[in-house]
Amino acid sequence: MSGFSGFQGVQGVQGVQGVQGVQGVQGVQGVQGVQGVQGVQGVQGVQGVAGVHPVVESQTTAFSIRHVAGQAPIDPQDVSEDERTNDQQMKYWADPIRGFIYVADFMKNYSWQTADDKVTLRWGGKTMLTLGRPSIGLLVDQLDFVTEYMDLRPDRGSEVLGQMGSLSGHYAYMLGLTPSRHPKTFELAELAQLLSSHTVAIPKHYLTVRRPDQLDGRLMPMIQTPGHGSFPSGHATQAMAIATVLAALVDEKPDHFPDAAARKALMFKQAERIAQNRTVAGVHYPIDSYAGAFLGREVARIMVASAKARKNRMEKLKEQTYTPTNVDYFYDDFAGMPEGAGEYRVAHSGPMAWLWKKALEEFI
Amino acid sequence: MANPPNPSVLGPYTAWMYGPGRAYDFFASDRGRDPHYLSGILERPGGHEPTPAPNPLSGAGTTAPLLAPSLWSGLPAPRFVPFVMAGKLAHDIDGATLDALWRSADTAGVTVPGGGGLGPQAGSATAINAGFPVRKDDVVETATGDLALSIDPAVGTSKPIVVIGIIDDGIPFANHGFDGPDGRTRIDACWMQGMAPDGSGRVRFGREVTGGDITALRAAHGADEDAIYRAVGALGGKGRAASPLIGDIAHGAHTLGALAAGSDAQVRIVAVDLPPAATWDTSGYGRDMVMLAGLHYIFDRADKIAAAYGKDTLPMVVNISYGYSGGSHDGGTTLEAAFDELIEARRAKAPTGFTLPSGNMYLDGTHAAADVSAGEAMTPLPWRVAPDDRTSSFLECWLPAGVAPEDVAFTLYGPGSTYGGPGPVAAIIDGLGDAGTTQTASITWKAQSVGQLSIDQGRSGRWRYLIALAPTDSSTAGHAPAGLWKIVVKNKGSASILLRFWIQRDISYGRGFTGARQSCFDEPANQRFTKEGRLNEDDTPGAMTARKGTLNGMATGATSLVVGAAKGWRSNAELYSCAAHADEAKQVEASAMVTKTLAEVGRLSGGVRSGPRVRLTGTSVSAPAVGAALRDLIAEQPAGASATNYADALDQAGLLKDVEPPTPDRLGRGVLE
Repeated sequence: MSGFSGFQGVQGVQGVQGVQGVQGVQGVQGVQGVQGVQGVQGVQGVQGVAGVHPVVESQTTAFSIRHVAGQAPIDPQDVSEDERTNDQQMKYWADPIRGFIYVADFMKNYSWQTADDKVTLRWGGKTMLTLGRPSIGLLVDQLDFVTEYMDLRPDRGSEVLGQMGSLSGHYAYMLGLTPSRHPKTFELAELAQLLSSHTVAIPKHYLTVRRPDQLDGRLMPMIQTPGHGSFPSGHATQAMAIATVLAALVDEKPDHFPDAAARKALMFKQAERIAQNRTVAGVHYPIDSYAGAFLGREVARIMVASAKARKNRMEKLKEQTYTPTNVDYFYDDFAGMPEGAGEYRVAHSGPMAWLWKKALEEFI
Repeated sequence: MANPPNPSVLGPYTAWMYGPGRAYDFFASDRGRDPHYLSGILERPGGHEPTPAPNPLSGAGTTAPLLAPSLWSGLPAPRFVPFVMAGKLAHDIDGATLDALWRSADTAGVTVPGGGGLGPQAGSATAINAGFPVRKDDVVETATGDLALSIDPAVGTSKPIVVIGIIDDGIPFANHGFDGPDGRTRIDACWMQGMAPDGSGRVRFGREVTGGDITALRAAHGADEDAIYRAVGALGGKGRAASPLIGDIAHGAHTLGALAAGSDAQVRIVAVDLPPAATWDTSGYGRDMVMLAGLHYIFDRADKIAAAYGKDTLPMVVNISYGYSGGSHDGGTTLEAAFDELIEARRAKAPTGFTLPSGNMYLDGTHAAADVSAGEAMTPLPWRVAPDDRTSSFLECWLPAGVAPEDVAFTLYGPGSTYGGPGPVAAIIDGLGDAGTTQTASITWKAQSVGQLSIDQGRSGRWRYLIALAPTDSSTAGHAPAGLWKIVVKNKGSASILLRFWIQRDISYGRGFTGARQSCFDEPANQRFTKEGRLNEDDTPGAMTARKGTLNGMATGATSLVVGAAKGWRSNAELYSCAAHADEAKQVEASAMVTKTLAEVGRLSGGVRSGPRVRLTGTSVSAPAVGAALRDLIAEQPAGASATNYADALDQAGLLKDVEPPTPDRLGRGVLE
């Protein structure tokens, strides 16, 4: 009430904000695709121990001691080939290279068709998701929500700043993940974010929707306005993709966690919150979150389907459509939206199947 | 300068809000733009008698029914009745129209839920205390007043059942902290006053969430409490602002967490969640109607709980962690008198405790007392008005009992210097005062009106001057100058008088940012710091600014148990914890530990969602803690124990620890750990 109290202790969290504020200064977040790759590189921490790479200094040694190896030619018969069935060679490649392979392998099936009022995203030539373009009138209506969410900036400030880069850590503590034990699960989550970033750039580009603060100067976002379109939300795409792919992993090992349902509920709640936090920050409308959730869920479903599909048998997924209306974003409402009747098909991906299997092996 | 009197039956705050102050505060706020109905409290000294067909309020070209919320049947002919006036929008009414309308109230009656009404007695003059308008689409014009309670099988008959009631903002009714041991909620009824109605018609405005509703909402939405709050409309949308429940911490979450501590199923909860309007304006103006309606509701639902468990009535403790800094401080304000009427009537039937905070403005320089000799004028009292204040500032000056306004001249000077003389005269009221009306004079600065000075007679017979000053934010049209205003009162009578001055609270609170800034008395003679550099907790001899006398102006009624806040060292009182003036009847009666050590600042209680515990400081926190202690022993109290509002009972139970040095003016009989 009016001055009859003062909240204490919560302010302490703001100290953390100051540290995280440094992230904001980096300004790297606009090029999230690159960050995504770095996320995969992050796994190098484990392998980096062996990464000593002497070159010049050892050359004198090489010339001095090579005589002890004799003069015999190499016999091709003695060469045993590296593994390359079922994409097992993935284990040989450096982390960023695996990142390039995943992206190239994924993108070969992604295409799109644009119209004035929508963009149709396709997978293997079939419609995967149709996103309707919001009218300016709808964006103006949505400004009310963005304005209301401003009230939460003091509460959510540290989260907003902490969610400007890699998101996998925001789910790791829901599954008890740690890099030493779960390197490939992290890689899977980072990959979901990376593929989301590439995928979402296309509808953002063609739909060309202004950010909320480019319509209403009173919003004054708490972070720099990103240099790309508002609709769909990249964060919502990434957050829903990560939650969906990790939930599928949990489903695949039903006996690993005693409380699997609760953990999945937490992850989808987190996906909702990460998306909402972008509205709190003042850089997204709630409809951006819906569009992102639709796209992120399909990215994750394709990842899982392409990992699980047998080599000569396509997995079927449902075609999706989102036409924005003036409502606030909540996961429950998103999850309750009808899915389309049409289907598209997903073929086996060797690299994805390899990663999926490796991640599953981390949950005995 | 001559300011012609402008008599009105509107109270001075209402006259400002609907008159010169219309460009600011409620009508200028984002949330005030939606259609709202008028509201208020009708007072009839002879009481309101039941009547089959109440007369509508008519006048000023308007005929409109006055609709009461659920009223407690234990008070069949209440003196004070809250109402909403349906059919006429506050936005369409100016001060003169409202004045004409209120003048016609003597013949009007109030429609009660379920039909029938309460009517005026012949010759009984009526006063109206206006409330903040109530959002039109929150109002249920056909209310039934019925409630179906679901019985909790965990409630046995071996131990006494106790009801706790709370009025606050941000009541997280889905929080499992309010469950009994079997996971069923102990909340039997919660009135969300600012939510969209649900069609059940049980409350006059907003919606009611019962224990059965909470069970059903949990079944429908699972463990996601956000989904539950969203389902009842508490998270905003559809043109509504989000309630405090959208955040992680809320005032009501903390206070109810303290009052409901534990999981005893014998403790049944009735809660009232105030509408946003009750918290925007921290002066407290306009809040009385929803508060009084809330207490009626709590008593009514407590009776229904008693009936459901086969009892005639049940013991109860109610906590309201709210307050005013202004007011007559003699128990005579409308809300205090209305609370007393209700609580005294209930104490005649069952033990009823009522805990209120002592206030947090001890060191804020918002109270002054000036002893003015006969024929003399007081030393100019400097009033520092902050720049960039986007809301009105209010300052009350109360004359002592028995002093007539004919013997007093009140002069307000515009900004001048700290040590030099005052600036130009901005307003004067000299010798005016009319029982039954408010007389107003314009406050002028550079030939522009920037506020309203008024005189009216309070309910207890004492006279009040009120300064209502426009915002100082320079982008506001008609803004007042910030700076050091000065007040001089001349005593033209033949005996000395003790004047009391209170500045109303003026801060941005909660989720809506109003841009309010607190003004204060800035008197060079007041030593704010000790020689050691600490904040000075003692009043300075010879200074008018006084810490003693800052007591919560809503807590001076006879029936309230006033609770201060303690800390674990030095003076033992939290720096902000208020004290009454030595002359006043109402003093702090008890207190609770809020900050035990420097590392544990604030008292722990619940956040909005289940699980988290947060620390909160303030007498808002200590009052429900004492309420919880009282809750556990009130069932055994004899009728006479209410004479000290159960402070003696708490003390005799060994719950109020003595502290050294003794600090009775701020901590009462002792400190609850």
